[in-house]
Amino acid sequence: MKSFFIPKKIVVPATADSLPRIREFITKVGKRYRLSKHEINAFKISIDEACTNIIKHGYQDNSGNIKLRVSIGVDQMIVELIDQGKSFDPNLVCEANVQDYVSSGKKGGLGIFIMRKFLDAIDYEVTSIGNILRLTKQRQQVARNRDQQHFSATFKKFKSRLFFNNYNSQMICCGEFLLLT
Amino acid sequence: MELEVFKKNDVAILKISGDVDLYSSPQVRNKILALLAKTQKNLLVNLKDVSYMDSSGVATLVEALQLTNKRGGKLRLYHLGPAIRDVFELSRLDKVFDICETESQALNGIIAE
Repeated sequence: MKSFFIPKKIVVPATADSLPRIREFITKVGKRYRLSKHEINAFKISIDEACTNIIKHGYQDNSGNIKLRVSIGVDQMIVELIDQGKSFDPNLVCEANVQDYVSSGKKGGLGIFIMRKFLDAIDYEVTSIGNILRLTKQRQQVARNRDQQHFSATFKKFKSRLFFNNYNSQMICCGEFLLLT
Repeated sequence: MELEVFKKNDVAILKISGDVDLYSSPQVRNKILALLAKTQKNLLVNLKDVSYMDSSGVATLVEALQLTNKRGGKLRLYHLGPAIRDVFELSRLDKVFDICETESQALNGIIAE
């Protein structure tokens, strides 16, 4: 994965009233990294659904936290959700049939169905630090081109202002500069 | 999130404003159930000011659709913004719901109880 960023993170209580804060965080990070409205919305709803599952099925009535780590690169976006609740792998949930869902009144499974539609990969693992749910979405070509142009323009602007003795130091400083813009 | 109920030609219109998620969708459900309990057979839902809706919000509307269908009534959604439309299209629920662009389209053919 090509990347020029430092992951962002947030820790929130695993309660329903944390969901607006999580969405606000994703929106801010998305805008900061110039994601399209569609990309931000896709991530907001996928993360919201994943957090809802952690709150409802992972922690149930117990208290705990959810930690989010966001990484946004030129090619893809990854969000990791870490919790210490009961393990709940969304990949084990069967594909919902929307027609059956509506006709039979069956509840549940719609959130995971929506996540699968919006995302390119959903990975789950149980580790010593907790359950890690990794959500990946490939970036749209338009957004990737826009990011690459922004990266080139910012790099040129930065290079014109400062002089470095070698190429490696330019790359490191440029990466840091982008985080400050 | 805010909920307002209007009547036009004696048809109930529920206007939802704000985010509909796990936290707020029970309020929407209670309001819809109360409206349908008051012998309302048909219900229009204005989603113009809904900026975000998760699966719990969608499930609430699915339940409302089932209830109106059972009563031989109609549930129509209108004024969906791009973010909400995305959710309905990707989940293919846009084929299940009666989605209109405007209020007058939504009211068209609806007979007040």
